[in-house]
Amino acid sequence: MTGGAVLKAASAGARRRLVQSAVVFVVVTVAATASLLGLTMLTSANEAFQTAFTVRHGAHLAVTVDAAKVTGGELARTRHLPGVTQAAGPYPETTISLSISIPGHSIPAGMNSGSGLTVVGRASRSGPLDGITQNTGRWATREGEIDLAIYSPVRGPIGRLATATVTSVPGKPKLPIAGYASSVVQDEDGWVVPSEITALEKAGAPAQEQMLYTFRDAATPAQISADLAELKAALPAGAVTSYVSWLNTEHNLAAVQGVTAPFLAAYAVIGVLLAVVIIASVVAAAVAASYHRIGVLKSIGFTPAQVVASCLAQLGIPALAGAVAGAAVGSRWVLPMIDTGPFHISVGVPVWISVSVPLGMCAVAGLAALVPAVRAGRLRAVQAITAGQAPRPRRGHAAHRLAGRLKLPRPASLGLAAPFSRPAPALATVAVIAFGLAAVVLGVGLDSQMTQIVFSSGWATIGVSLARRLTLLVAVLAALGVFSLVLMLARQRAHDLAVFKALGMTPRQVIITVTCWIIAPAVAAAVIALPAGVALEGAVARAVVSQQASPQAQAPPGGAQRPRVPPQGAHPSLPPQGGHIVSRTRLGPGGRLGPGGRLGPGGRVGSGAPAGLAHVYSPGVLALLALAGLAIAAAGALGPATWAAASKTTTALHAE
Amino acid sequence: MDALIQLSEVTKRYAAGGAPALDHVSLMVAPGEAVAVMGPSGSGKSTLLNLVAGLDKPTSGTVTVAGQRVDALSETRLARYRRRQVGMIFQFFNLLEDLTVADNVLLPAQLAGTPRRKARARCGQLLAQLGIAKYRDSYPGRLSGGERQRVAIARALVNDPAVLLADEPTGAVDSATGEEIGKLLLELNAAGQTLVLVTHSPDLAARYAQRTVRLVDGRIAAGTPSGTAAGPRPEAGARP
Repeated sequence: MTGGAVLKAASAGARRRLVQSAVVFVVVTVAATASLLGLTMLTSANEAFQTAFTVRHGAHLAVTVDAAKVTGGELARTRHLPGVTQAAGPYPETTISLSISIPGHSIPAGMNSGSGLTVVGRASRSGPLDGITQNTGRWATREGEIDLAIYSPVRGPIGRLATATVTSVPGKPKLPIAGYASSVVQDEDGWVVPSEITALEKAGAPAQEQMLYTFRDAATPAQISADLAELKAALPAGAVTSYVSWLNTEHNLAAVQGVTAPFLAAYAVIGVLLAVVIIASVVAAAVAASYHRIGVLKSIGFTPAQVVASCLAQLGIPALAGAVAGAAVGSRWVLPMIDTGPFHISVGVPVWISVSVPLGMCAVAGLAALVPAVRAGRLRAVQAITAGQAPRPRRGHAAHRLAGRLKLPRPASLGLAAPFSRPAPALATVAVIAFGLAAVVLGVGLDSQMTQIVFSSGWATIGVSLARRLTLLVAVLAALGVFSLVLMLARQRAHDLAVFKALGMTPRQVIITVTCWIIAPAVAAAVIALPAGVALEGAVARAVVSQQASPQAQAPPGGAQRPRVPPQGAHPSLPPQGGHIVSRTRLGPGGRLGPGGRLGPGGRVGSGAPAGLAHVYSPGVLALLALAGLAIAAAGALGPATWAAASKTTTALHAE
Repeated sequence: MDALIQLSEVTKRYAAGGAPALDHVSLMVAPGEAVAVMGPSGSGKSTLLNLVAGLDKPTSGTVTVAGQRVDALSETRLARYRRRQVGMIFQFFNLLEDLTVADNVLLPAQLAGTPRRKARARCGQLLAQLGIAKYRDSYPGRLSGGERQRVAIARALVNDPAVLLADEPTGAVDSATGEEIGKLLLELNAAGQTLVLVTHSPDLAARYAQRTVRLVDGRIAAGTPSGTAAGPRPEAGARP
């Protein structure tokens, strides 16, 4: 017997069991897509920033100068300093206080007002340096409107629904929000047309201008310090009032990466475990359904090893196709649709991920298939043939007796008791729903806590968005898992279902019976997943908080030269949790750090667990989450139930 | 006498353009009659039974049972029709291994919404009548073939169907048990139960049916009466 015969038997088997092959293909595809996305997002955040910096012509240094102390000629001369490679500006700049209100609505505290907000006058989003990314809405093109930075502490709806009032100037002008945008350097909280700046300047406040520079050497804090020193030396004393380095933004992004890493890892683990359970269950069911065929193969001379190889190859074909398709779908179509940051820059998938994900998924599928395949290989031919025909010893008699006594319609009680007859697939169903529900519990928890535990509302939005997408992906995978398992069960129990129908069960009653198969597993899953999900969310939240509290997240490289300004320092009106990720170094007289540049008490953002951590899950929320598990399961079961209701009775009845 | 079952020019093809499993078959069965359908494998016996049971639909022609056009019913109405009008007995019993004997028998009544007490009483009566009352809490896997077929017969009768359809009811049991099953069917028919029996056995057909319909290649063989018999077996005390 040659390997060709094994392959031929395997490919014929894969074609014959199209539904099982399709299920393995789809599950592996989704799992591979999820793994590729997770790994890429986990490892490529810095690459995304570097790409954005290049594409958007980011500036190494954004410098604010006191316009009263410097002339246009002096500023122009800085373009030709030895270390400077490119410069842009001056753009008029001012500092404002902003308050947002919506008639009849309340905006969360910390997001409805802000002071010390830097607003720059830019006629256009594009420019030689620091191209602005429009995240939502449109660019402010006329006086009387403002674009806010997505990392700005104030938020409000776009348009005239909300009123953004500039409270720092007399007359308190109102500026509708035209849109939200992002700068790579993150020097500004908002942009207006240049002619608007004068109207926003406080009486008596020094006129400010923003200059943007790139330098020959700006890769390290020391080089940035040297560049700054060169600039200051070229300008009158005290002309440079503050600056923002690109290294701050990079550092903040690294901190955000650290913040997202715990929950990305949690979702990745859940996703991979889910894929393993689904694949193992589907493969076990497929092998069990092939026992008769395995018996025939043995009777014509297949050795146990060839049977194992045939089983593995039969499932390996759709698994390999799914792994490759998942990696391709993830990198070609899904990843570009996901904003990995505020700059709308999609990252490339590293080669090692493109290679390791398909290989890993194939390995997972192979390992999952190995146990049932080896068991099939060890069966004697007669045993295998009869195992495919004779009724199997049943379990769950007590459950059926108990369910029969319930005052429920008989189709429902039959469905409720059914999982106890086949414990292995029932346990797999419990596991799949539990993983899906745990992901939802984690997602709900992170959704409500992210704004509290991440130190910038803008980054919190990105984190929440990421968590929501991952939750959806895992929930879809879980529903797909339930679909696969219930479909396999429905095929295994096709004969029983046909008997039900022959005895007078209507199609609707068949759907009820099959859908009820998942109720007991869903209840068991809820019992496991709710506390597990809550515990996981707590662990992830603590990990996020500890990431923020870590020295790397607390202080940007360069230590005192670019200290993180405490939220209170930058925005006194904000509560500690509504802080600001941009560290803007303000220089006092003589270029020394001003009061706002020092870390004050409580300035260590996220240094302790936020007060709300323990109160995310109210009993009502938990009840809703339990129902969510049931919904995931029902969504997965409905398709196979409908298939079972529509399947041909006579074929199943005579398939003895 | 009005026919309880009437097939008119029934054709059934499983594949378009393929040979018909039934080819323009017309047949009438009177109330209380016992009809045996015989023929070689692939002659269309089981197809005919499935059409009468409403488990399948004809490609053309009409199937009328108890005045109801079975071929025109929706799936839901077909299910209700099966509950009320048809009891089926299969060669391999088709009992549900998860359920006790009593639960197997009760199931059609529960699906039909029969009050619990009434259903239990009917179940108890049938189990006693068929001599299997002591197995009511047993599971089918522990019963012999004959006992299983008795359970299947009890299940088929629990809703007092108009027609009892038996597909090779003795095919999976030994000859002594087959004899017992045959006698049981005879008794049921004698009590007025209309019976359509598919069998390979000429002996069973001759002994337990008043009329034999022979199918060959999907057609009723020449010389086989397709109309109702003149009347029920004299000794059967058939329903008028």
